[in-house]
Order: sequence, then C-alpha cells, then structure tokens
Amino acid sequence: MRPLLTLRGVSKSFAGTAVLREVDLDVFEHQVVSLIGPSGCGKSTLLRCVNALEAIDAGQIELDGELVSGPGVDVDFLRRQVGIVFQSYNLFPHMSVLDNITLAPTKVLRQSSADARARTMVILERIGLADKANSYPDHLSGGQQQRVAIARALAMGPRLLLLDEVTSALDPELVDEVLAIVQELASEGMTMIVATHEMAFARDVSDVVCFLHGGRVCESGPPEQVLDHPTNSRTQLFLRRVLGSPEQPRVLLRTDGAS
Amino acid sequence: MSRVAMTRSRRETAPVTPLIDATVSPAVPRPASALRRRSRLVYIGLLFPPPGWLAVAEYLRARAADAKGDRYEARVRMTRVRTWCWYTVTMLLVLVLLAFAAALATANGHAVLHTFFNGTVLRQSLPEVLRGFWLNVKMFLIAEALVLPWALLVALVRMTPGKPGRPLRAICVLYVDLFRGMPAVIVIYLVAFGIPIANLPVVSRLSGFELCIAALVLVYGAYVAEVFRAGIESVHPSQTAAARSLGLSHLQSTRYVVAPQAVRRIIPPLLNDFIGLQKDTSLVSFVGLLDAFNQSRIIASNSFNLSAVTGVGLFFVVITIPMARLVDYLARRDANRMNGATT
Repeated sequence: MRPLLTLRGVSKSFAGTAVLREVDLDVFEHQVVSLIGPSGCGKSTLLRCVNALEAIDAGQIELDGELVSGPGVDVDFLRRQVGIVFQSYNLFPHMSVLDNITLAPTKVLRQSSADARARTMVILERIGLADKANSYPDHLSGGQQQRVAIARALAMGPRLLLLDEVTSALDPELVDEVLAIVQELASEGMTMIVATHEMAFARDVSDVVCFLHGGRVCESGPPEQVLDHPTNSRTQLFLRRVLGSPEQPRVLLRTDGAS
Repeated sequence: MSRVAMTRSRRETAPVTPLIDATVSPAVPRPASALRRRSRLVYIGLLFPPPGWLAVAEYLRARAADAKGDRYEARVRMTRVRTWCWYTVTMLLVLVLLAFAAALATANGHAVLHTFFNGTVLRQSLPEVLRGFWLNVKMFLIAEALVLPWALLVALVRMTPGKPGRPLRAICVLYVDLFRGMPAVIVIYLVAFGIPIANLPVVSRLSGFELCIAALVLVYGAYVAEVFRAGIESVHPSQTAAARSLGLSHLQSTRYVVAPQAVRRIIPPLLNDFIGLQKDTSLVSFVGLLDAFNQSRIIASNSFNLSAVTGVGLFFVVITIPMARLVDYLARRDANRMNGATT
C-alpha cells in the first residue's frame, strides 16, 4: 500500500541552525502519527514544512504520490488536502465563528454561502458549539476557540490533518474537550500527524509514535514499543523526564560553576 | 568554584548559598507619629482659599486623631490633606496662566479683542468666508475619498512579496520619500502652476481646483500609505499563516484577513493625517484659489482687521470635532463587537 504522505530526507535550517535533518516519515491513510520530543526538536517545523508554510532546503515530500515540495509546487493543491491547527488557534478575531469557518470554503472551494453555512452548522453541532456560531473568538474559552480552529480546518475537507500542539496553550481543565474531538476524528479514520506533549494522549490515539530529537527521527514505532520499551537512549531520557520516575528524583535547579 | 545544587531529596551536601538574603532589609522601627514634621507646610494653604483652607482644616483633624493615638484615622485624613494640597497647587498654576492671558488681552486698551475678535467684521465677513470655506470642505472631502484607495494601493504594492516585487517596492519607497519630505505648499505650488504651463496632454486641462486636490492627494497619500503599512505589519504573521494554510492566496488573505484587522487599528493615526489634510487645504490660497483663508485675507487687508482670519481658523477647529467623535464612536463599536456581548 502506498503511504498518503512520504517525507524523504527532509532538511530545514533557519539562519544556519539546522532544525530538521534528513527526516524520513511515512503516513498511511487512516493512520495517526504522534510526534513527541523536547521543545525545539523540530515538531512544529516539520508540520509547517508539510503544509508548505515553510520551504524545505533539501529532500522531498510526496502527498499521495504527487511531489508537493520544492520550487514551483502548487501550494493550493497541497493545502486543499492538508489542514493544520495551530497551538495558538489563530482564529480571525474580526470574524464570527461562522465566518471564520466559512471563509475558506466560500473563497477557495467556491461553495455558495448558504451551502457553506449549512455544512458549518453540521460541524459545529458535532463539536457542541452550534450556539456559538455568531460569537466572536474573543468571547470563547481557549478550548472552544481550539475546537473552532479544528472545525475551520475540517470545513475544507482535508485528507490529512496536522495538529501542532493543539492543547499546549490551554488551561488543564480545557485540554480534554479538545482531545476528545481529536480522539473522535481518529476513530472516524481521519489521517493525522499530531505534535504533542500529552504522552497519555499519544499512547491512546496514535498508531505510530515518532520521537524527534535535534531535528532527527530517533525512534518510531507503535506507542507501546516507543513509550514503554524505548531502545534509543535519548528517548529513554526524554520519557523519564516527562513521565517522571519515582526512583530517580527530578533535578529542579542546577548551576554548575565549573562548566 | 561555587557549586549550587538543589535536589528534591537534598542528597548532595555541597555548601548552599540561600536565595533569600535576610541582611538586605533589617527590621524598621515603628514611627511614633503618623504625621511628618514637614507636613506643617500645609499652613501655607491659609493664603489660598478655598482648597488651601480645606487642606488646613483636614490637617487639624488629622493632628487631633494622631494625638489621640488613632494612627489609622490620622493616615486617612492625611491622604485627604494631600489631595487638597494638590488641588491648591494646580488651581494656582491655572489662575496664574489665566491672569497672564487676561493681562495680555486687556493691555493697550483691549487691543487683542479689537484685532482678533472684532464682532462687526466677523459678522460682515461671514457670508463670503463661508462661501470660501465650502471650497475647502469640498476639497478635503474629495481628497480624503481619493487618498484612502490611493494610499492603500501604495501600501499594498510596497509589500509585494518576493524578489520580482523589488522594482515595485522601490518605486513606492521613492514616492513616499519624495512626497512625504517635500513641503505641501511647494507641491501645491508646483502642480497648480507648473502643470498648466507645461501644457501636457489631459492633465493640463484640469482646473486649478482639481490640480490642488491632486497635489494634496500626492502629499497625503504618502503619509497615509505609511500608516496603512504600519497597520498591515502590526497584524501578527500567524494570521497570514492561518489564512494561507486554509488555501487562501496572498491577495485573498490580505483582502479578508489582514486588511480588515489593519484598518481597525489605523483609524486613530488616520484621523491625525486627515485633520492635517483638512488644515492644509488652506494652502491653496497661495495659488490664487478663493478658499476661506484667501477670502479672509482680502477682507483683512480691506478692513485693516484680522478678525475674519480668526473666524476661518475657528471654522477649521470646529470641523475636526465631528470627525474626532465619529472615530471615537467607530472604535467603541468595534471594541464592543469583538469583546462585548454577542450579536
């Protein structure tokens, strides 16, 4: 079976700092791939490269066998099939929830506004925000805003959804309402790449967990394998830090004068 | 080498420098009285009724409370004393200024009044000045309507992305530098006199009125383009990223996402430039157009009195006020819609 998305040797650097180094990744249809790793390991950059928000320096990205990286690529073709949800929601503050969601379908897909509205209301109903259709983003809680952002990406009918740390900006009690939707999308068979710091969620939702470190994929495989029996020493260290371990006290503050 | 290490279990026993340094602020002795010695200066207030007297009265009550040992009441009363003292100071300053102005106004047998505010001249010149002012109003209304799209175009072109956009960006920078730097009166002079003399196709057939509007649009287009650009750049790049990620083109994301947010932010600075434009319509009197200023100058030289010119100046002041209120209203409406109740 051909993967929906293939990354081969993808590299990207910002002002001489390598952020991605020869990343290879395959994402099959209906698969959920989680990207985990410390801050600055390249998770967000990887997602932004897949959506062509950043141009890659080397390597190739293929979507369903079609080359979607490099100069002259048809970004519209790519972005109509790949949606992205950002950590900070990035809703348009001057538009109501309804307008936020219908903007792209009416302007890009040329749906009639009545049609787009009807479709949007179906989505809003599903995520429990139908009564907020005419509210402005600033009136919504962070969790509600993030659900609207997911709805906005879904309204374009993407084949692949990229979620860039969608719960990192949320208060802890709002995280679940967003993750529940992602969970539901996964069970409906949406193909997703999820950058996340929520290990329990990554374990529950993903088919493949990818550990990134220093812009490289250090380890990838089924969640039980990567999260419970990591073989790479960096993965082991990271998971120990994130999950905590009773026999090894966490270092809170260390100033080493000698170094 | 000092080595500071803190672990949850405090297993490491290296010497630890505490983060809290108790030697910085030693205990401060409690003052005997809530009042300070120099607070007696409040008696100067006896010279300046009524706020000064109120300050002194409150001070006496504060002292009484302090003597009884009620430090709390004394403190509260002393804050009121301070308030009345500041009132005394600010009112004194304003009184001094007003007295100075009054002295100037009444000096030389009310010369100021006769020179600038002669009622008879003001009344008699009113019809002609108003007719002239209508020309200013027409001029700035047309110019403002033209400046907005023109400046937006310049701002957008100046932000053309990519290397091929460079020549376009360069021409916009040149335009802005040139017309923002050149005095408006010189641009008006050159355009209104020069274009008819040059006898060019089409443009030389424009009237003086139209040429003056063109000159004002050229000058203020440069200012307003910079205001637009600042507004557009103030919209966070994540908004563009969100719009582009949904498949909107550069133009579409500018049109539907960036520009609407930018326009809301630039309304106050835009008002400044529009007021500047309104005032600068008076510069057209230099090329012979009979605007309000020119009319009033004619009247001034005929009647040997400047009152008509003062009147025109006040007209310009008055006409900016509805604009300012409109802008306040728009800003409030937007704020309500985005942060207030749902519509």
